[in-house]
Amino acid sequence: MTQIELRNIVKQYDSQDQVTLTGYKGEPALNRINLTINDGETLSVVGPSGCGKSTLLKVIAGLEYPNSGQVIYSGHDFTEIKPQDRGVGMVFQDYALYPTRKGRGNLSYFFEVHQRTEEEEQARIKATADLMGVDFDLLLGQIPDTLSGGQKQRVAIARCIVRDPNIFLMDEPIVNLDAKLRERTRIEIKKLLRQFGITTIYVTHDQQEAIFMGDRIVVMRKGNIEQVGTFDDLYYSPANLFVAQFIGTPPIAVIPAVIENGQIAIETTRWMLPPDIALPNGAVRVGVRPEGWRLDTDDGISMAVRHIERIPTERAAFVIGAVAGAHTSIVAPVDYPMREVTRVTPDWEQALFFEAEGETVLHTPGVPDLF
Amino acid sequence: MAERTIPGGQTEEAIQAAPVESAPLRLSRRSRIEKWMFIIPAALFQLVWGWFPLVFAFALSFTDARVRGPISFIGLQSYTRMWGDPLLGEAFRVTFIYAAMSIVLTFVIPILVAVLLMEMPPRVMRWMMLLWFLPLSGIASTILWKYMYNPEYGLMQGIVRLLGLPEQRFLNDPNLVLFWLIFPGILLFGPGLIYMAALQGIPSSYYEAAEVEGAGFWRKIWTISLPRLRPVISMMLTFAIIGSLQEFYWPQIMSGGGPGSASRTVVMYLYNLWGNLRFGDSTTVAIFLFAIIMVITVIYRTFYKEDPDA
Repeated sequence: MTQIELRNIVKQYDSQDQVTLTGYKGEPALNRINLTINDGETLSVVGPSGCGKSTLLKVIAGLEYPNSGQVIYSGHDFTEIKPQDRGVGMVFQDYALYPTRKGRGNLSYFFEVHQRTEEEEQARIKATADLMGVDFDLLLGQIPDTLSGGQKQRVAIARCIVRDPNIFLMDEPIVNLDAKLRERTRIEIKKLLRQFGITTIYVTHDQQEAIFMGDRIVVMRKGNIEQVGTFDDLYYSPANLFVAQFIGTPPIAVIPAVIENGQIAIETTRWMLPPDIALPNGAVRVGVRPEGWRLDTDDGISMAVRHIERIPTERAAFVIGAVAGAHTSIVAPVDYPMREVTRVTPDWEQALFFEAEGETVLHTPGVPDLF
Repeated sequence: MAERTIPGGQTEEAIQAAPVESAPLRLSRRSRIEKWMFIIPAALFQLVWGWFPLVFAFALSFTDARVRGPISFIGLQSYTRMWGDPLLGEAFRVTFIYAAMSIVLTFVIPILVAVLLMEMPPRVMRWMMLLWFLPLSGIASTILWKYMYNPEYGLMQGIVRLLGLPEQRFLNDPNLVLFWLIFPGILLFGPGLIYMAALQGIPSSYYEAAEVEGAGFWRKIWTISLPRLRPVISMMLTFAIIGSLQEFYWPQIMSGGGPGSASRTVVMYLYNLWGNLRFGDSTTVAIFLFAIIMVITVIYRTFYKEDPDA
């Protein structure tokens, strides 16, 4: 049972390794990261590519050493400890199975390296195979090249489980699978994780996956952690404009507006703000989620509709267009008729408010109280 | 968002599921002619410069063909005569030693060097690769090496003196002449570059996975690098065997087959026969060599299993 704590981690790659056409990339891959991963928790790390999420994973694994800062495992400073002594199980995007070894050989690798007894090896492999499901024994007899992507990833996960790791590190483990298989594997991994209660860090660029897998979610950008929290935290009270725009599909609409004595104006349309939203006069930007609009209102602002994306399976549609020049998506009934222009009003109770310039949040609705 | 609406009201899935009107897979008359027009020029060259000489050589080996005079069929006489020629035996001996040495020195060593080079800092590696990729004419560098091997004023003798080693006779030393012929090939590192390209194609996650499990340097090489290089090694070894058994121009230019016949390979031998206008005998030796290379390659490919676990 392991709790992991990162203190002030800075990781700067050798600029020599990253020569680009325009010169050196100077920005640190990790910039003063502080993060605590609780015992038994699954933490998703999500962010656009190049945000440092894989580096974060490697620093925790010990595959990269930080330039400064500390990696603490359950109260012990592990910063300088080699990866094999940390007890980490790592699952990779490309599975990274040993090519000449059958499934069983991949599982026994660890026991050979550490010169454990044959009995222990066999017992652990047996236990792992039981855990992985009925048909897993079949995979043990095959070399990786003959396995499908999903099967390879099952072997790779089993390779981690077999040596009973303290923590699981998963680097986009299902991104190479096709959509259906991805769904299934995702559920399978989630089930295994719940069964074990092992501390897990799950890196992905897919926010849906991050939401599904993680008890908490870390949003990263350019080597910084922008926010840590549950999905509701990120969705209803984002720490800044970046998080607000990154979380949620279709994305939030961000529209310039002006506040004047409790009234708000988008272009020439004015509304009264609810009394609990007290904001100073001046220019702001309003963030409205797709479900935060009311359609066909009398006091609404006109929206130029570009097209309507219908999702019959969800019995819903997205009306996609522009409000005051800003890209906007709005949830609508699945049979919502196509039209050139419609009138829409933000539900001000659900709206987010940002500074006119920069990313600072002025007001968020907060996590709704469902009960 | 599993399905998207497409103009026309059909979902993508519905469109994909709809049966496609399959046109019969037959090329039109016009495109059949076009197909041949693309093939014929290349096929013609292959026929005239590739297959015809082969068949012609095979035919010649059963005759007593010389420059002038009637050509008569003499059956296997050339074969029996060549079989008994001690000079040819000597040439084959030289060739096999040369091939074995060159495979060890210019084939096995580069694998190890390439694997170790991958551990170098990227800047060092880039410079090394640049040096190896410098375009050098094969013949020009051969002549250059000949001068470098000069026992009096050559660069190599200078290095030997600098290192305080006993003076070498280089190409004049019948015991070491084959080694000195192969030596430049080690430095040229030809196959090494191909190994390095293949090694660079191995995703780093393989090594990371092994590292997390506690594998050391040699174990990583043994369980990841070499298995991933296997297909490349197999192909390169085939080329190396065929190429080294046909070695001609390094010994021809540098040592001329000497001293004595210490570096005269089979191809040099048959080249000399041809020069002496003994076309029948010369082609006979060529057929000999062809058969031997064929047999060795077939044996090697048979014993070499593509799939280690199959």
